[in-house]
Amino acid sequence: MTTTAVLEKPAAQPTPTTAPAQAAPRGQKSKTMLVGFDLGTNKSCILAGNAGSNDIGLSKIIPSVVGYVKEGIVDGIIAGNNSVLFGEDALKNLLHVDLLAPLKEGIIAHPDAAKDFFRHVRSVVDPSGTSEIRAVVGIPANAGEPAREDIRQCALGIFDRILLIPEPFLAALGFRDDARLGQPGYVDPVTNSLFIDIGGGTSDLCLVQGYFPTREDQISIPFAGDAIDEILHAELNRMYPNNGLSRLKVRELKEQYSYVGPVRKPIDVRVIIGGKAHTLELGEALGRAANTLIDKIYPALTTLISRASSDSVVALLQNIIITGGGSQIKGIDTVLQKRLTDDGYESPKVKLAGQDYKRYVAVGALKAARAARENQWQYLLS
Amino acid sequence: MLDLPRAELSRRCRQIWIDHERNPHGSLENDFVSALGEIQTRHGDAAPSEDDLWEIVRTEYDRVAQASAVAELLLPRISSLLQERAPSPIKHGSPHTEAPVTPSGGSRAPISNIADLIEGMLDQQRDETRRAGNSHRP
Repeated sequence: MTTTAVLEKPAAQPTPTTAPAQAAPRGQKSKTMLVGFDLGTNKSCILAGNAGSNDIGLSKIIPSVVGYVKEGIVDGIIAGNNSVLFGEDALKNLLHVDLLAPLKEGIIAHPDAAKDFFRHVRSVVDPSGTSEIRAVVGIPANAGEPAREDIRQCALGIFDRILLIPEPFLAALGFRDDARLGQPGYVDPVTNSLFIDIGGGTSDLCLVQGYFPTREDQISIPFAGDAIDEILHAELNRMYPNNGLSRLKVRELKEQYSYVGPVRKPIDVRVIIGGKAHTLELGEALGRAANTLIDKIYPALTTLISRASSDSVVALLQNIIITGGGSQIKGIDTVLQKRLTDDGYESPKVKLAGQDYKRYVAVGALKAARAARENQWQYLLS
Repeated sequence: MLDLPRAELSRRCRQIWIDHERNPHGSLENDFVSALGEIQTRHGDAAPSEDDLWEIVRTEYDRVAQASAVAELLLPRISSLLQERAPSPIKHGSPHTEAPVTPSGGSRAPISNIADLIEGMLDQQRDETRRAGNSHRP
């Protein structure tokens, strides 16, 4: 049974054979491209367009993985005989690569792989390599200066200018429907909302009340999709020893069947183990794993509610929005809303961001890129 | 010449419809007839007839219905405008940046508001850097 091999550092330092993805010397830039970059632990979302235009020329979701092709792979097995693969290509060639996830819990854990990943993103945004690239990059709420500096180092020589902005704030910006601003009954999420962005590495909560959130307005919990995968994997190994299910497979099962609230049984799932079909009952394991997330998020949620001013909190309670991959957990909005109601909060309303949840941070990042003033963009200096 | 009894009855019927709008109940016919009775007592032969009453009732119903529809459309817009023009809420322990950005009134929030929000973020970062620098001084 194949499991994902993760090395602490790549076995070799092959030069990526994709199109060169370095920032061209400043005098040779043909145009400026703006990028909204949601750098996720498991999946990254990139939106890009030319400066001065509202068109989105590129919209792409890339799994945040880098695959270094193993030594001795026969020519022609890997398309283009590339030595480094990214995203879906890396996952498709799992047997032939050493797979590395550059990020862990939302921050860079493998700088070399992260830099390769950034290069790949640049090559996707600008295959010619001649554009000036300005990227707004989403970072976890309350990311410390070391984490920010790691991202800058990865971007050095790849992006020309960057801005690092917390993800839940970008989610609010992305979620805002600009066409409805000013319409009666439409509440701008940037003026009074509480965003819960549940990703792979972190769950970030943020009060957004018309000004840029301070540290006290944001809470980042290093418990999210990956942690649920770990718990679920452990539960399955306990219930079905030697099941041989890979972490990737467990994640797939979670994404398809996860729920919170009272235990739902039976959830019978057919899996192939050792070449043979087996039916596993996963209801209890799924519920136990995902409900742990609620126990982590709920205290942070009530903490932030308590920090809102008394004249804004009633409206705020009507505008609690869950986004990120965790928004797909069945029942998560209902369960959180019920807990708030049971605890006496006044008419809380917890909403899901909707089907576009994967893109909101990147959409917000691109909006920020388009709005940023010239002197707000940060140069990257070695 | 202004028909005062008719005007008075119109006003009474209008008020009955408005009260019914706020607090619906079933005895409207009696209310209209009572109103007519009072006006006939006060004005005698100059008062409107019963036929006039039902014509006035229909007219005033239309007026109140139209006014309600317009109020329904306008009130959210007015309260949204008032809200946007109101001073920004004061938050205890406010950020050390300047007053929070408020969305522009009555139209799309201009892109410059996002730039102001970014400026607020950069101000916070600069303040944190300054404080970190001060705390490292001997």
